[in-house]
Amino acid sequence: MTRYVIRRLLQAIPTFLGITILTFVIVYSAPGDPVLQQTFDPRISGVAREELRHRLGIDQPVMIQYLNWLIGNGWQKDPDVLPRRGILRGDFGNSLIEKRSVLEMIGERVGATLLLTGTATLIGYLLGVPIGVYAAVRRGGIFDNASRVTAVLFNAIPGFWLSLVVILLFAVKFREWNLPAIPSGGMYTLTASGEKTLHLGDRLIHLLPPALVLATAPIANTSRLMRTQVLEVIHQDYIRTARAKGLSERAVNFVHALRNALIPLATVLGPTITGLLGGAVITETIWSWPGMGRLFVNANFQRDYPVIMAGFVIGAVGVIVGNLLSDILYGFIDPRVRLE
Amino acid sequence: MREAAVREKPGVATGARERARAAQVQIDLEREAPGYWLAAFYALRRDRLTLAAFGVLFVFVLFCIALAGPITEALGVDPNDTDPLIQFEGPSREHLLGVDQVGRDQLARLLYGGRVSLGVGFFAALIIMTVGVAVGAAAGYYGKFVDDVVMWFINTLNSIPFILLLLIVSLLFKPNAATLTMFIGLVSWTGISRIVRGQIFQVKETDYVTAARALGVPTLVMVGRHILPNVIPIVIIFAAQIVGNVILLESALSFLGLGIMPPTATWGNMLTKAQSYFSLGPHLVIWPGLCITIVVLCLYVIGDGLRDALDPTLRGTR
Amino acid sequence: MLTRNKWASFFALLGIASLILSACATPTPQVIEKVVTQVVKETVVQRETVKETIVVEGTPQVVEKEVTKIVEVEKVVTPTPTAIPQGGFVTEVSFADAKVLNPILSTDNPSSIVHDLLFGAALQNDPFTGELVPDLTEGWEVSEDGLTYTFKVRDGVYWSDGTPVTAKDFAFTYEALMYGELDSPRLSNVEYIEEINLIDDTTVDFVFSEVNCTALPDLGLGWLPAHMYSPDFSDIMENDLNTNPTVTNGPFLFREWVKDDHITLVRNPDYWRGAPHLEGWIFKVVPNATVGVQQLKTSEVDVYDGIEPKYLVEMELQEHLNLFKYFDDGYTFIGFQMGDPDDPQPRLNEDGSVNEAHGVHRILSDVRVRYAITYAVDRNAIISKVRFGQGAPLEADVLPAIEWAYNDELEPREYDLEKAAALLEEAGWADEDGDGVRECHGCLYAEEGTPLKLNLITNAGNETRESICLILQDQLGEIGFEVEFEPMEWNAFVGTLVGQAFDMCVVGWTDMGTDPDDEGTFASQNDLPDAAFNFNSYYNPEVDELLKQAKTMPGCAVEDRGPLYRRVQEIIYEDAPYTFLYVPRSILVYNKRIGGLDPGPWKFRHNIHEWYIE
Repeated sequence: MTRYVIRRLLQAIPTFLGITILTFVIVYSAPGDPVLQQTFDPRISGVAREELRHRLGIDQPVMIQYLNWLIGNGWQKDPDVLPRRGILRGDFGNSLIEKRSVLEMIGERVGATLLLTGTATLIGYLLGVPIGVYAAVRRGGIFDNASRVTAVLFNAIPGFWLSLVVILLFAVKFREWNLPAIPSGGMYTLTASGEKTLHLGDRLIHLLPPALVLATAPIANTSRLMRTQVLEVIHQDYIRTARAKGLSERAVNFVHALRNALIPLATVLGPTITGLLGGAVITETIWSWPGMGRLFVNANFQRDYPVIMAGFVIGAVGVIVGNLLSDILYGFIDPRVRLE
Repeated sequence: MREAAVREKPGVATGARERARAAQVQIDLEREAPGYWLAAFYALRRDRLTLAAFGVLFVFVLFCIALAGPITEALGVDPNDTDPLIQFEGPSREHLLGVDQVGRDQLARLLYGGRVSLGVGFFAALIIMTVGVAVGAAAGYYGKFVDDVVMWFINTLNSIPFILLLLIVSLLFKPNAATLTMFIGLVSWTGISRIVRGQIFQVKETDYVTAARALGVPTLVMVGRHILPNVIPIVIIFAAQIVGNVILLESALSFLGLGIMPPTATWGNMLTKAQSYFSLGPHLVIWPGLCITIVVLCLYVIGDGLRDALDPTLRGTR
Repeated sequence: MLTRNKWASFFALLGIASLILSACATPTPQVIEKVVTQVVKETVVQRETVKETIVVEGTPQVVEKEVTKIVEVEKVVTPTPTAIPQGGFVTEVSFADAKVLNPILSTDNPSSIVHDLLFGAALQNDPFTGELVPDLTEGWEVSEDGLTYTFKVRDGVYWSDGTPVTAKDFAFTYEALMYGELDSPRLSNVEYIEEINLIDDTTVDFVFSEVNCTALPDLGLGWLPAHMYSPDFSDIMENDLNTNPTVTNGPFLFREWVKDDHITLVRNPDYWRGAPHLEGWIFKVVPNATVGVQQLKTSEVDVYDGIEPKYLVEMELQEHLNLFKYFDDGYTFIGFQMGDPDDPQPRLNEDGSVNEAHGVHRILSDVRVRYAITYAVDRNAIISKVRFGQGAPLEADVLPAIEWAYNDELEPREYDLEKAAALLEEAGWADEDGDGVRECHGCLYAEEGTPLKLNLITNAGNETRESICLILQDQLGEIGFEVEFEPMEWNAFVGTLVGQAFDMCVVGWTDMGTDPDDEGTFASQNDLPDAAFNFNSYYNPEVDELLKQAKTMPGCAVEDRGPLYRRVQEIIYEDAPYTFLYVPRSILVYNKRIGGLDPGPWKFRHNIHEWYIE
């Protein structure tokens, strides 16, 4: 097992290098640079701009900049340039716009993103699993058909549009019609002394609408997956055996059927974890949720290279780790796979 | 218990009814069972929901692609005609679905925008299928070294956080419909590729393929007669879903301002501005999103229906 | 019966629940009445008893009698105390979060708004006239040769940690920019400063390398607390104070900053102009205008500066809101590329001589075409439809608000399609093949048969500009142009603009300030692709000379500089490198419950320490 893990990790290294080089080149070749858009003022002279570009190290050829990003620029011995130690030593650099540590900026927002996506995923499982199971058990019935149609519908609705419609109706229109309305965004209302409230109810009413919108996809997918799995499992021999042994219906359902049906959920664990970090970009933007997604989108628009690359690296690491976890977990659960 | 016992002893049956039944059994046995494709067709024909979805989708495609021109001419509207005087007006006799913030007719824009959205959807899906099937088939069929290389490539591609890369590249390449189609196509084929590869592995292990190989059947024949027919159903099943996914992706990107930029209309970028116009023009928020939802819904239902019809193992679990 | 463990957990739960619930109680702000005594004199009518000597009639007797008379007397009256309510928060909306709360590291507007309330500066604009007036200084003097500015720093101002504010803080702030190797976009503020001399605690000298009449506003950056930083400037870039500015001297103190959500500032009781009445000010980020307008209507937020004109009517209908309209210090225009967009070249060589390889635009180099476009644009329709009437037309490059330099004698080029068509015909552009688009038949710079086709760019997301472009496309189409409109994402747009790879653009300048100098946009030394802002490739040596003279005028007197700028406007009006569209009028909306607001066209937060909640 350990050998397998080590082998996979070693394989991941060239992958990681490959995609970071590719992304780096793409990002730095994009038109426009952060200096120009920060200094969009005709009174700032070209000389000052060039100096700023030199200080930030963005006037050098792309591959040199990549090297600096990876291992730092100490080897260049240029006193005018901001010193960096490179990501391999943990220095993700400073944001070109906010002038402070990228890791610090990300750290401030990770919590908010995880709260939102975590809640959505949790709701997805809590609702999706029972719905899927029940639909399978009562196959062909009204609940089954209704839940399948709803699931497909949830998948088909563009998430951003659903957010817009929900805000339009429940925040804007309800307020106009003097009905109790949901907030139109943000994480909390401010107290009278201008600080974020600790009121649980307020936090919930800000969290639930975007989380529910985000949860529509997991609910749909989980319920369909569970339904298919349970149906497959129910016809297996060991279920018949269990019934024949005289076990109660409930024991059959929970002990045997459910546990086996839950297996595929483990395999999607990888993509799920990745989704936790990056999956809410659009939702965060629409609901002005102060999370990482918005940070990344804004950084893209402002050509804040260090932040873009940092976000990308974190995303890539998340994907690689997620896939690895997924494989390992599946290996534990299904011994047939381990032999591969 | 009792029925089984009775069935197991046909010879015991006496009387007219039993003889008629036996005769029917004989007739049934002699009649050829419908082939795979015919059976699938029959199954599909019985599936009214999928048929309805096909119908609705067909109507949309017809309207947007073929009839956009004639309809807008007949109504006397143009998707690019600005008229700031009538900003935000809701549905009226002249403008059936109202106008947007510079006075352009929404129905016209929906029709022409549909061309772009649907076009990107179908063509990107085509690229995905082509590349995906080709690569997956190569990996599956030739195995070993080729497979290793392909899998490594796929794993690398998959390690890239998709949406992040899309964001970055969208900013770089100022996409128009063509470049966006190509980009989405070239980045999203790994899924179907893996599936095709898996399917081919399965088929390769079957007895009849091993036998064919042993008999020295030429590659082309083997691929054509044994492998492809097992792969095509899977591809068809996923095709519908992929088109739906691409349409959703394009609209999300255009909405964020990273896909196709205005003034070219697409259903996604018609919604970008709509965000700020809630109170002034709610009809601008509702219709483009509704179009996307309906089309994608139809595609997903068709995908499900096709899967139910074409996958015999699932026919029982329908 | 619950076991002991279960009882314990039950009570623990109760305890936790009650703690949470008690945190829910929102404290009501206290209104403390502050008694202000004033001395008032009034004339009061009252009765007075006076002794009078009266001669009794008929007798020589003199008697003293007491008589009451009505008399007017001046008295000092103690009035009933008028109380200015203390307390309360004012919330202002913004679409973008601040980036860094350090005045020498920021350029974006939201950051400036917030740190202007935290850090004072040497000078500021008068809210009503825009003139430069002292803030933390008492005034300044300019030496005879115009190169040395001597500032006298005000006494009695303190940082929030008790340290006095001195000239050292002023010097330190600018020395950091000069010597600190900072990554700051503000480096150009110190470009012409040769040295800074700190004379004593209240006096400091700035010596410039050349006379520059536009240099003074550059000295208006907020001051950093010198005593909080290392003297070698090494800890400025990564300092915690950039996001947690705890040592400040403005009307408010920093309380908290939740990124992308809000910034809270609270009153500074030791503010040198007087402690603010408000308890604090909140800067809130909202995702878009709709939400902002919503929150204004429900009084969730109180102030919204720069609301889009399309909401004007809706806002005027709100009874609890006040509107203040003011003209921006900027303008929106159509820019014409006069060089070759396929081969952008700098106008001048390194040695200052004219670059012969500079290209010529095949269509727009002909001034008649530029005039034609100006006549083909219905500016009044644009102002009334796109800006909902909030704007005023402009003919040349100086704002009407800068009265001493504005040339009001320029004849407006009114909308006239026929005149535009005639000009195009004269310039050799006619539609001979009947396809609706003119081609070159005897035009000045293009080859015979070249179609009259141009591309038009603007920044995507700015609805006003996009709408203008669409209208432009339409209107120019009517006289035989084929215009390809391409809205671009901001960074790509800036890159293309400064890279000079476009035909026409719609863009605007803002924050131009009170000085009419625009060398940055019209001087030939700034025609540098990818580096400077004369991206139209405008070239007129007379304008170069005039602008240079006006900028380096010894004495910098407005009587001397004014005529020069008026002449520049005449030339620009004739050369038409831009079609000037309008000066936008901005709208400030604020809740009526805020008293004491006295907004001026240049600033409205200038007296924020006098605001109160009614």
